[in-house]
Amino acid sequence: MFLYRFEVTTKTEIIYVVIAANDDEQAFRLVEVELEKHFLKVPDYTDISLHEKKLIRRGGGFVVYSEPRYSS
Amino acid sequence: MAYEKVWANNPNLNKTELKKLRKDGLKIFEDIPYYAKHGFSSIPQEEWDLFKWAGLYLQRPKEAGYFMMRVCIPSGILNNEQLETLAGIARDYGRGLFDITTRQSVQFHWLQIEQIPDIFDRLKRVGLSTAGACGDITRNIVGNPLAGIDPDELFDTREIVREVYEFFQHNEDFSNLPRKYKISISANVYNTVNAEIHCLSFTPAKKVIDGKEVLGFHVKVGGGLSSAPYLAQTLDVFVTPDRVKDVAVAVTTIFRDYGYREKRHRARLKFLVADWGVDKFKEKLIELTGPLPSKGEDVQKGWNPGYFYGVHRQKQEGLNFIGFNVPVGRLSADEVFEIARIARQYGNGEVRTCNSQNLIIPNIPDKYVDAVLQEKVFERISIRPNTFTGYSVSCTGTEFCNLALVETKERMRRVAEYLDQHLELDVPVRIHMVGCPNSCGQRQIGDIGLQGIKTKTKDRGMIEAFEIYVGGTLYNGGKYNQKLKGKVDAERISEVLLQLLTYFKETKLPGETFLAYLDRVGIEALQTELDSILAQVSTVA
Repeated sequence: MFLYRFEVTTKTEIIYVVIAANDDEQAFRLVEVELEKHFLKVPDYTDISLHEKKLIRRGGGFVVYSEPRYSS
Repeated sequence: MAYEKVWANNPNLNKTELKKLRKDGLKIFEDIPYYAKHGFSSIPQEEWDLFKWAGLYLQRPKEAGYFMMRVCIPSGILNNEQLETLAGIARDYGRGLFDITTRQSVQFHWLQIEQIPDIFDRLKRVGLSTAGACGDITRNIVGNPLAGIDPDELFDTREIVREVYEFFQHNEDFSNLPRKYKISISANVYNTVNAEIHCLSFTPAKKVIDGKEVLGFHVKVGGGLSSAPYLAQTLDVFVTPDRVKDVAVAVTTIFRDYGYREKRHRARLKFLVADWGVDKFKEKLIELTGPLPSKGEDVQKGWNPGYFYGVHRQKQEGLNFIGFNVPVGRLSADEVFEIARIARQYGNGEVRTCNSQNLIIPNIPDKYVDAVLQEKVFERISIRPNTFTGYSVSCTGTEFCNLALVETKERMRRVAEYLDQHLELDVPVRIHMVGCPNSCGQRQIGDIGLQGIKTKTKDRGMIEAFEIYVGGTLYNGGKYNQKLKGKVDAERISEVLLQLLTYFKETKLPGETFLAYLDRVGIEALQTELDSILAQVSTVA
């Protein structure tokens, strides 16, 4: 099993999502599930991006930190 | 056991450390014949990691039982018999693949446990080894690939590298370090070894001692890339060539005995150096070595990250070395045999690998230079590679790596080829492509770094993409590259880079390098241009 670090980009912000899944496809699906669970209305995102994955052996995690969203 | 493991009673050691206390990594060499006889299924899963000490990693998926093997090549120097042996291993066992790494080693893929004893025998017969190529141990020692023939070296470092390498080979006093440990030793004045990104580097220096000018080294400690990059710092010491081994042993002893073993992600020497600072580190060093003179004069003039294309005069009258480009470091076994034949026929048989993943044939007499260049193999392995093909670096990517998110090696080759077909520049631009946030492809020091991600938009399924970084260098102490905003569909990366580099070409001064340009115009100018390119090209975001 892998731990995944995602960034979901909207027009105004970046939402960080961490997922545990067996493969990349399942991980992407679970991001959307978690977004639906978390938000009353799913944010209008431009993309969901996977930046890093780690094997889960005896546990693990990611630091998620906020960066200013560049507006083009 | 010749030393006391002073950390053994620490109750907070991580699990890997406990495992290493139970069984030293080098002991795996004793077990391999049994496993080879009984097949991959006889290897307990908890032993898989120990294979690193023998230079072996399991390829993805691990359960399939195929190994990657790395062979140490100190300073990148190979004699003819060694080169032919490596080519034979690639041909007979490794599906013909022969990869040169960014630390001058050679890697094979698709090896099976049953084949390993024969491979070890072949390597041993010619004086090559995989011990320490991977694992928590002193890795291959990176050195000046031109050592002994180099007009730009202060002195020949071959014997020094050999002495240090031999000392650490199969040395169980130093086979249980907190983490991987990388040394470089070079007297070339253009920093051909990327000194700032090693745990321990010896760099060329001179000092007046008792009224006489003495040639030797300065010492840098605590560098390293990976996901938390640090640049090495210089200690206030001057080391004469005869003391290099003593200092290397002392620094390694400090790392072994004081390095952090509770958290693996904080175990590299760079974390100890960052916490202690260079003054405390020097104090500890001198406790072990005895007095060392203070720093002298740094004689380094600039930075050449291992590129030597073309024909160059050696120190030796009438002899030349020829630098060839190996696109993304990958050769076929047949090409290596051919290169070995050419080196034997025209030179002294020697071939040298560079940390730019390229190779050099040294000791070619003037009268044979043209004949060498006429050889058919050098149509692909060129002395005059196109700008981009000649300066591109890539990690392994998804082909063999468990953590990579995207394919890199073949893609980098194709991207460079595309750029070469569509754009000519008067300066090289070094592009480094990686498939994850780690640093196997040294993304941080590229003029342009491309970091792979996977991304999904509402109207497209999951695709591979890249983020672009600009401005990495090790010149003048070093600076890592910075991320530009925006994600580029991997299918469009060539096109986007072409537009970005065309803008660079149109707005640069004659002869201005990418780094000088970036210093002059600022990162914002490139960001604005990238924004405009991404607005036109159908990309991700």
